[in-house]
Amino acid sequence: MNKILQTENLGKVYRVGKIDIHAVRGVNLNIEKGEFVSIVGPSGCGKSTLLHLMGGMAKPTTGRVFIEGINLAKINDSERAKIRREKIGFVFQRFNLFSALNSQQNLEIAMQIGCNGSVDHQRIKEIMRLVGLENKLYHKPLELSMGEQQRVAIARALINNPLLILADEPTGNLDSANSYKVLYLLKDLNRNLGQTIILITHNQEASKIADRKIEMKDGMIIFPS
Amino acid sequence: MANLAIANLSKRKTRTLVSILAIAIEITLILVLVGLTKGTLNDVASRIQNIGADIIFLPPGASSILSLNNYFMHINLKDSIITTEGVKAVSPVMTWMTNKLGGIGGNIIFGIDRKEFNNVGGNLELLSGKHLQGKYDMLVDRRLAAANNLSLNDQVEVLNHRFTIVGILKAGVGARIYIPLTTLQNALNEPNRVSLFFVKCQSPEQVGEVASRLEKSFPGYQTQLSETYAQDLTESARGINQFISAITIIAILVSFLVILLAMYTTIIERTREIGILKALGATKAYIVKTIVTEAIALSIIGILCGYLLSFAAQTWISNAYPLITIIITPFWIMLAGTLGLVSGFLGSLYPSYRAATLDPVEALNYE
Ligand SMILES: Nc1ncnc2c1ncn2[C@@H]1O[C@H](COP(=O)(O)OP(=O)(O)OP(=O)(O)O)[C@@H](O)[C@H]1O
Ligand SMILES: [Mg+2]
Repeated sequence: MNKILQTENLGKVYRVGKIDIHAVRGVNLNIEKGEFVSIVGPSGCGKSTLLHLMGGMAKPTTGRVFIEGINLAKINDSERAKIRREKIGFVFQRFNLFSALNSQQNLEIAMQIGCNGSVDHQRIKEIMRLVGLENKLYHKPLELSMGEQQRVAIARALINNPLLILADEPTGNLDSANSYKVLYLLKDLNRNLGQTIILITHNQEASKIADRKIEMKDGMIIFPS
Repeated sequence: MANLAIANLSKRKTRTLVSILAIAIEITLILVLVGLTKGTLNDVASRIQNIGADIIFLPPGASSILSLNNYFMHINLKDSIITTEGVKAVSPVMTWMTNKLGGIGGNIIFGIDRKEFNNVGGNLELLSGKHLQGKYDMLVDRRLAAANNLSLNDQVEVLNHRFTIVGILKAGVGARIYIPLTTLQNALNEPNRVSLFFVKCQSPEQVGEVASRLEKSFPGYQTQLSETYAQDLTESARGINQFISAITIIAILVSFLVILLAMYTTIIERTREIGILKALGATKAYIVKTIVTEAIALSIIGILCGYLLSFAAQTWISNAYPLITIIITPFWIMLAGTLGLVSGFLGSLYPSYRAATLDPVEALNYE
């Protein structure tokens, strides 16, 4: 077995005024290479917070996250940034492309950051073909449909060949046709390339695309219990 | 190669244009102000030096900026000066500022005795007309004539008298306006007084000795060597130099603040983009570099526009005010540009630091 991500008793508390909000509590997870896992749960149950903790974007209040055995709590900000650029590809609900740049340039930026400045246009073309948008290299985000924007965002997440893709409600802004396209794209990436994916969604239907489903409520994992 | 910094310049056009304009104005302010001062000082100095006298002999209290003087001395001093060892010729001159006929703050008039002025070297070259003869004859130089549309036999009213232009001089020697010495003395009710003496020495090697001899014989009076006039003038214009420094510092400060504000609002507006960069794993250095690059690009474009604007202003001013000289030197072009760049760089440091230290999740969720 090839564990790439583990969490141990992971917890995150936000303090708002005098109230503590336990956004994530006691989460223990094991993700293996090649898995397609969905984390599903109602709005506000802590899915995004958990994803940020797993991706090294936020620091946990309690517990630990290991990526390929590296304890994210033990390393500093710039080392966590290195983990993100080398091992993680994020996909967000709001696509989060750079609106001033076209698709190719959006991927170039990710490549510059991930590969110490070197850019490989051939690879950009290949990845764009993989997401079915090889003819939209020079379109800026606003010249693309929402579904296309999300596929560019997925291409960007893939460009540096990450260990793990963390997708936070990738279909949240899409109509059902586009949602299916995106979900099946993720499925294909997992099947054909063995890409490890964690998909976060509040949509039970969407969560079925994954091979393994984890349910969350009130910051905790309720299934499998 | 994709460049977020450059792409953002064209995306945020108004901010970009306003910042560029502010920097361009800053550069123009410095270059034109310095150019105006330098041009004026240079022009004055070269005209005095071109007279060809060796020493300017001045009454106690007088300044080497001749146009500022209101001090007179008795014309009898001439006889003692001429008998000083080493002196070859002396020319008494009365100076007077008129606010007529254009120029910055007016024009200086020299009242001269033509022969004596000639003897100290003051070779007034006529382009047309004749030399001073009658009481109310006047000579003007070509530049002043052109600026005021004057030609031979035109009448000019100064000092409550009507003067006739009898000759047009080649520009660049002494004052731009000459009238007979006695006429000026009488008009000022000072028939026996003069403002300065130009002194010619018997040989150039003696100039220093003669000057100290004169200072010894006439305690309190001053001698100004023609050779060092330009330098002395610049030094005595200290106040002007301080003024220029002050304006320069203010201009630099303004462009620093413009960039600071432009970049600060930019990073606030682009907080989410910075969050994306963080999610992509960008280092702090990468984020700082992105912001600083954008600021430097803004500065460079602003500086180049400033150069264009400066040369346009130079052309416009010298057309509109032909008596004004603006000198834009390569040194000041470099200095103004460097200062603009440095202030742009410094102005972007704090915003870029703020951007680099944003919390990734908060930045990403920023609305
Ligand atoms: N920065 C914060 N400060 C305070 N409370 C926060 C912060 N971020 C999240 N929370 C709270 O933590 C809880 C979990 O939030 P989270 O965004 O992880 O939920 P979610 O499951 O992703 O919800 P959604 O499906 O709506 O995206 C919520 O109650 C939220 O209000
Ligand atoms: Mg969420």
